[in-house]
Amino acid sequence: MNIHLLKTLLLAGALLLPALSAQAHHLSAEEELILLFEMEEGYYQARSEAVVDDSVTDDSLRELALHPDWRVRSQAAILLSWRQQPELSSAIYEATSVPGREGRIHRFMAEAFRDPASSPAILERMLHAPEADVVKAALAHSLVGLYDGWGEDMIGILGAARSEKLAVAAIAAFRWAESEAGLAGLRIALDRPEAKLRETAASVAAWRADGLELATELRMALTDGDSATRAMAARALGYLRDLGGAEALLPILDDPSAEVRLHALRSLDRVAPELAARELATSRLAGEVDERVLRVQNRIRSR
Amino acid sequence: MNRATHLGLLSLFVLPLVLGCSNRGGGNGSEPDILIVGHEDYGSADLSEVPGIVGVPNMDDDNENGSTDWEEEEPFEGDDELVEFFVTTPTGPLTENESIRLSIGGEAGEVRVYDGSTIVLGEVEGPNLTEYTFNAERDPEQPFLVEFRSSLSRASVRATLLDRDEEEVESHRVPLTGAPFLLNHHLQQTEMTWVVSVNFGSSGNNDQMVETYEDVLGDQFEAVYGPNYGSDVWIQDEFQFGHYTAPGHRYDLVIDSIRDRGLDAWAEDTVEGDNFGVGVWGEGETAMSMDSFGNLEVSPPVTVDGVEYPFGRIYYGEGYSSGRRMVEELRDFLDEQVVQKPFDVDTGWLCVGHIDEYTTFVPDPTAPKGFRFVYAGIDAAWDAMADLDDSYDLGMYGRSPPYQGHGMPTVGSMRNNNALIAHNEDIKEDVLDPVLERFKSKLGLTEEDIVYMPSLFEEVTGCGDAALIPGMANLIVANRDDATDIFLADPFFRSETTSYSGQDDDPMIAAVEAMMPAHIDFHFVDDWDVYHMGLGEVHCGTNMTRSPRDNWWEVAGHLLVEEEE
Repeated sequence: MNIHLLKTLLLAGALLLPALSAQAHHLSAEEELILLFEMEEGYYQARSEAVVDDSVTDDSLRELALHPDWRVRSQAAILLSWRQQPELSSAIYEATSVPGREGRIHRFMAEAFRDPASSPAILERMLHAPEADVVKAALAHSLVGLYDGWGEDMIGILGAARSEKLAVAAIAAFRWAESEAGLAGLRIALDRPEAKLRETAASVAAWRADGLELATELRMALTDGDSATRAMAARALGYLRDLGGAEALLPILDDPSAEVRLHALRSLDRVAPELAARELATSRLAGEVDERVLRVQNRIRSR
Repeated sequence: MNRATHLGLLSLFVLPLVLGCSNRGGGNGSEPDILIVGHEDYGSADLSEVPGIVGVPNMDDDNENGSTDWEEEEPFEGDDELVEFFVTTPTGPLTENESIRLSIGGEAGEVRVYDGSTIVLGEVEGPNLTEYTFNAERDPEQPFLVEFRSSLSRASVRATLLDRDEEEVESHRVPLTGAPFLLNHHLQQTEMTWVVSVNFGSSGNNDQMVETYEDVLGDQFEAVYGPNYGSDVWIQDEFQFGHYTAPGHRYDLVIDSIRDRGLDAWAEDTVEGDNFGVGVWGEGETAMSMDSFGNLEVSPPVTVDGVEYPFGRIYYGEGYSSGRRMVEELRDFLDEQVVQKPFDVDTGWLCVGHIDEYTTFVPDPTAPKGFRFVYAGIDAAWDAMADLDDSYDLGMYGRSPPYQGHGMPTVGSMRNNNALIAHNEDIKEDVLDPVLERFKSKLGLTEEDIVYMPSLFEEVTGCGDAALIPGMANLIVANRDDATDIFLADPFFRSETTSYSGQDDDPMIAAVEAMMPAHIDFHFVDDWDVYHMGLGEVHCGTNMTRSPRDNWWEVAGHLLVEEEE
């Protein structure tokens, strides 16, 4: 969104026919906000009109900003933000992301991104501005730890994400979310149809201190049709010391994917080292060709 | 024989010329009948052996007309890449019945030989000139000039003395070799150092790092004003400095990476000029992180299986499993330079994927080879925190991930983190141990040559691994005379969140200083916000020119295979 255009729309809002007003007779305030939140084309014009629409008071928006529906409270907060601190919101839109050394990971260094009050504008820019995926991901990660309840919002972002990169960024953020939101977000992600999202969730689960709460889901993921997801689930069960999960690892010790075999054997060795040594003595694991798996096998055998 | 000696010999042979006789021995006498001699800077080098007469490629633009000097039709005053040689007849000057035939072998299109301003051998429009004959009328004190098209242009010139019947009396062949492009290593003297200065307000700045460089290096340091270059702080990645040298000549060249981010224009703005060129290999459309030059490093001089590499060996990272590779054109170019025989190692496990993230070299006069290989040591990191309580406060590490900190506020949050322990065990087993064996093999290293820099790695979801403890192996060495200063990341293994305090009590700093050579002055600088959290460290944010060391034509000839004539 061009900020100058945005300002123009804001100034001209009183002259524009409010897009939502025609439906206002039929929709509740919550429904109006959801409609606005989910708009794609025309969003910015409609939002600008809503910002100057004095039929919706600041008090009512403050109340709606506590609504249980993430879409309602997010959109209410966005409108309030543009009404009460347009400079801060503008600063969020004007900031340019800074590429990290690798280039595919960006971050925002502008001071406005350290202000918890900027979170509605960050969210809006992430969901509606025509940004590159790397920028959207940087916007999502700018929310991590910025305010209380960011983890719950990240679940909403995962649901609303229209690009895989943004969804992956949201799942990555569950690594640092408080327990309830973090675990809930990862459960949702492990159940998503997109393999990349399931793989990412299995990968992230390994790093949570309470990740063992996801042991059931991770054991199920060992039979996932996607080999990368199986590998990350196997790795997670080892990192998390899932002592009860050894049996679940046995069937994938001779998985067609070397990555899966590697993590399955390592994790088995971490949770049941004697069982790992016994399995290695069986003929079914003979004939390994992958260098990394062979190294692990040799280490276990030499113990 | 040097030029002065040669000119003395010329005058001694005036009398025989007047008398119309000579003392030719047909090659059987104690002195040769014909000899090609070069610049006095060759000293006692035998020019008959590779590399013979050498010169830097004439790729600059001394007359500033917009085209490289190789493209000029004839030599011009000020073209300082042309190399003189003389054809002498030590047993007596040419008689009126004798003549000398010059012929060229090898890659004739890669060189030109001038007699005055006329090309007499080598590359011209149309077929290359391969023979040139002259007689006693030519002034023997006038040098021939040779010009090289590119690095390691390989040809030879043969001077054959012909008698009155144009029968060969004797000949002398000298190889002609264009200088190889040589990259710098950490044992060379520092000339100039650059860091991009940035200030993002409360989100961070590199003021302390820049101040430290200024204090230590003085006028050998210059801060690049970041806003002029898109606040692209990764100056190591955009440029690789190196040089061509030949007797009396030095031509610097900076390889400009195809990454083409904010700093892309800096080399042209700042260093390009007389005897300092800028070159690009590859196309920007294909650029990936592997094309950055934190991923292109050079070892100090090594001997491997009996073969001396007096300018070290180039090494760079490749993503063995991910398929990420440095652009082919540059890999080929580096291979073609031969002298620093490149090899690759696995960096695909890293998010950024650069070799400087876990390896480097530091000078150490007390070491068997004069240096130590610095390698990421996971056990060294756990050892360094072994005596600390779980509650030991790690101020910076506790800040909010992923852009400010790591969400690990205490030593306990690291040391009791099963995933972190397991993940680093896996990295050691899968990568660090096998790669170390490869380094030992490719560089002839033994365990005695290695120091293990305390290092832990953390996974960047969906990307790969990056340093958890600021990567201290990612350091840069400044040598000035006998002084060695090393700039590296402040590990912040303490509660203080500024590099201005607490370093004396930092156990990670103490561990590093205890294991490293005593003569080095270490400067642990604050790179946390600007570099570390952007997945890079001090070396990534610094670049440096260095003085050439040793003459390659004297010490590296054994690495160049003789071309067939």
